[in-house]
Amino acid sequence: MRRVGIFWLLLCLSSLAIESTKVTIPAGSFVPLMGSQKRQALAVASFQLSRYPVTNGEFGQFLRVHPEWRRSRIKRLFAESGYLRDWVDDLHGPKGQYSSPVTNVSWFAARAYCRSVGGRLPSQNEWEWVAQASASERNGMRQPEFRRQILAWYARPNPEHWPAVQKTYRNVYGVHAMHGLVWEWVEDFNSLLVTGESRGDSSLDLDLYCAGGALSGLDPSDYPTYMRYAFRSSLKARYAVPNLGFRVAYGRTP
Amino acid sequence: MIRKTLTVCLTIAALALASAAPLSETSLYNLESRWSDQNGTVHRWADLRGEVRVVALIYTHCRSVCPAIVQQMKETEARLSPAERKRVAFLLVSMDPEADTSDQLRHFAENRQLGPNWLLLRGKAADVRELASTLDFKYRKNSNREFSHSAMITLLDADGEIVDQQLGLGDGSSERLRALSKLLAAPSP
Repeated sequence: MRRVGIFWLLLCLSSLAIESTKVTIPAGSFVPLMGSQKRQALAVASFQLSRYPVTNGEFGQFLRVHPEWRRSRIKRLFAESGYLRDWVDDLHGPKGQYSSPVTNVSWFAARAYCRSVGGRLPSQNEWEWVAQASASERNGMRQPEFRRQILAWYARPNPEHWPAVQKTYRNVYGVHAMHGLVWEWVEDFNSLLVTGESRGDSSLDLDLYCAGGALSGLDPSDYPTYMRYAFRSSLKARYAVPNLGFRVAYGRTP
Repeated sequence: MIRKTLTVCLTIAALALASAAPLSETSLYNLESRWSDQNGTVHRWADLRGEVRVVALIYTHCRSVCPAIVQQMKETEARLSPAERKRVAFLLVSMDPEADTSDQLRHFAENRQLGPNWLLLRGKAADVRELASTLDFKYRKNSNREFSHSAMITLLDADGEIVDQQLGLGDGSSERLRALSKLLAAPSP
């Protein structure tokens, strides 16, 4: 009897030691850099977000069960030819990078992964809301040190190998790598218009110009946020980019 | 009797196989979502195979760009010969499935006098996003329930391949007509 008691005690202790891979993000509101008219604050409902970006190891597990998303099988509609280009073969990611973020994945493949684990991609606003959090504050953008840190991350070139997701910056919610690792897909990455699309011009729309105008009067440390929006609007859903991964959100689609 | 039945069965099977040649990898009809039309009938993309199709994403309470897009599509239709018209279908997909119920889509089709070769579809928000991503169509809902969105008309061949895409409100109807005639002139598969 006593032995059983000790067993349960150990089990409880060990489950305390293992952190959940999902983090609950409480509801809040913030003024997004773009996509809000007249710079109004937007409400973000509570949702759950994966603590880390999805790793090569996790994506490999997904590919075992869903062969149609393997490099050799995926349809061109859903990914360009560079899809998983750094993988050793159909099921094995780059050597020694099991716990590093998966990159070179298309938006379609990222979504399929999310669906397979009962989740979805976070919306742009959800992602940006969580990205505002520093190690100590939900609105870390008020902290000059945090802004400087982000700026430094964006200025740094990509490493040859991505570090393990656990070894990255952790914010106040306990979510890792919102900055300082890879870019991430969001569900509505294609929600900003581009002016003169028909002329093949890639300059961003009025929305962005307005924000850009606003930015010129602001601290240049807001530049990383601007970069993220500009980067997203340059993407197409079948693109596979070497420094673009994703993470999973759970809960009602906003 | 048995042999006769067997022959009929085999013929049917052969016919079914012929029309079910695998889609090319880049066909839009590889999408697996389900949609309902203005009459509440459910469609899958693969069911839409077989007809040349002019496609646009719109929302019915739009007062700016969408009416112009629908008008351009109607003009394209009007400039086709009666024989050509029979072989071209028109598809409007709502980017606002919350507001655009099947009833709303039917009213819209009636008000705009869209013929029986016009299909108006609504689907799940995530499926609209997927379709839009496939077409490189950009949109977002604004706080005032209006949408900011690309102006785009896409021409699909009978197998769901994008043949022509017009971006912006410039009048691309001549180019679209040329592309359409070319498609219709090609021998049917």
